[in-house]
Amino acid sequence: MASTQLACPGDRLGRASEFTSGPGTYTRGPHIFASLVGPVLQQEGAEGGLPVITVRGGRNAQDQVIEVGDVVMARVTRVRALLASVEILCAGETVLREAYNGIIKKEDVRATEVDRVDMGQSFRPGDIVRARVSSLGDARQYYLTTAAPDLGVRWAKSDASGAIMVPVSWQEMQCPVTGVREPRKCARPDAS
Amino acid sequence: MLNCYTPRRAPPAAVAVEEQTSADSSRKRPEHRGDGRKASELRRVYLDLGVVSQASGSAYLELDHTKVICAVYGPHAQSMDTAFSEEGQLKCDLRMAPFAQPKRSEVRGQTDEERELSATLQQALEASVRLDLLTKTAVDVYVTVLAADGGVLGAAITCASLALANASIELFDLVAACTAACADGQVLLDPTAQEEAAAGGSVLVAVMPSSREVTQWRQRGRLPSAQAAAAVELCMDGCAGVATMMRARLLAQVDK
Repeated sequence: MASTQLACPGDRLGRASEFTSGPGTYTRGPHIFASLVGPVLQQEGAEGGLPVITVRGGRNAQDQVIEVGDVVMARVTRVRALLASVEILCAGETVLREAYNGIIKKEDVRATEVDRVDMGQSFRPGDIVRARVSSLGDARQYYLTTAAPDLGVRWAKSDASGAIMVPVSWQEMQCPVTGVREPRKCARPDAS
Repeated sequence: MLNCYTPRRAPPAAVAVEEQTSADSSRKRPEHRGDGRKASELRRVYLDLGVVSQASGSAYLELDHTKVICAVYGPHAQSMDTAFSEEGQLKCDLRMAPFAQPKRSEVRGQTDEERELSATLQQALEASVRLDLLTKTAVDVYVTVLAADGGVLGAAITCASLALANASIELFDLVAACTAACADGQVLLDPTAQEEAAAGGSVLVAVMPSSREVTQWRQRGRLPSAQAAAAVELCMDGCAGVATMMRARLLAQVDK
């Protein structure tokens, strides 16, 4: 197969017995077909398995779809006693064209002492939070969780000075200008 | 200049398909239609992609004087009013521009006919979209008919399929659509508005070319069964031609 082969949705790419279907393709019967417009690529199969055949589309529409288990960045919009409402802005590396709604329930804020969580001491409106999608939720919103060390508030402004705060522990952030500490459920900073 | 072409002049309004008024039992059928085409000939097709810059994907289609533009938005969040759906949702909206038909329309909002065409458009496209991948999201397809000169629904389906492919929405296949009209015992492929009005009945077929699965089949008017079968066969041939042009245009876009 030439390396610059281009495919359109519905084009037959190969046999399912010789290749594994990757992103941009699907299997029907004994054959693999393209489902995007773009160049056809072959990659090594996992652990000596069949080579994976994929089609690379232009603007990847699938990046705009959120699945259970995806790590997302969200902005807190409302904080209530039992849950915090958020707007999901990014999914993985992709900035979403339109925000999705999500909620973080009280029992999903952290992993330990779940019944003693104070939502007001975990999040504030305007905070940017890294969370994981725990369920598709209902028609209105996705259900998110921050119950892991690497999840939680990543960016927050100080009430006192308006400066961006720095995490000092998993429960507190500090304003670099005034030194005032505020309670948040912080995400562990990425190792730089 | 890119994508330039010379539009054909509109046929004079008074021209009609020749009619035999003599008492001959054998009627001589005209070999060529009002615009010089043979019975099984498609009109000249012009396709363009990415014409609506703010949309996720878009396409523009001309069949001589029938002009259709389609913009696709999505995937994005499903409407909160609709019931929860784990699978993706496809919403189609077809509207005629107020200047699309010879008599300008003063109606604001969608007419019943446009609603019916929107529903037919959705049926034609739904089978081709990989909705299982679009978890809890929706894709909106907006088709605007700028000029209606016959074969409007077929053009809308073809244009929408191109726009979905342009938006990189995963599809099982493209959808190509074609219309045929039955008049005076003759089956005409891709009729103009005049030919559609003069015809006793017409057939629209939308098909996914690689699997030859029909996603939409719409018959209107009176069609003798033999003619109906011939019309459907002619439509399938027409769709194959349209599909070839769709593929060529989509692949050409990749190199740009």
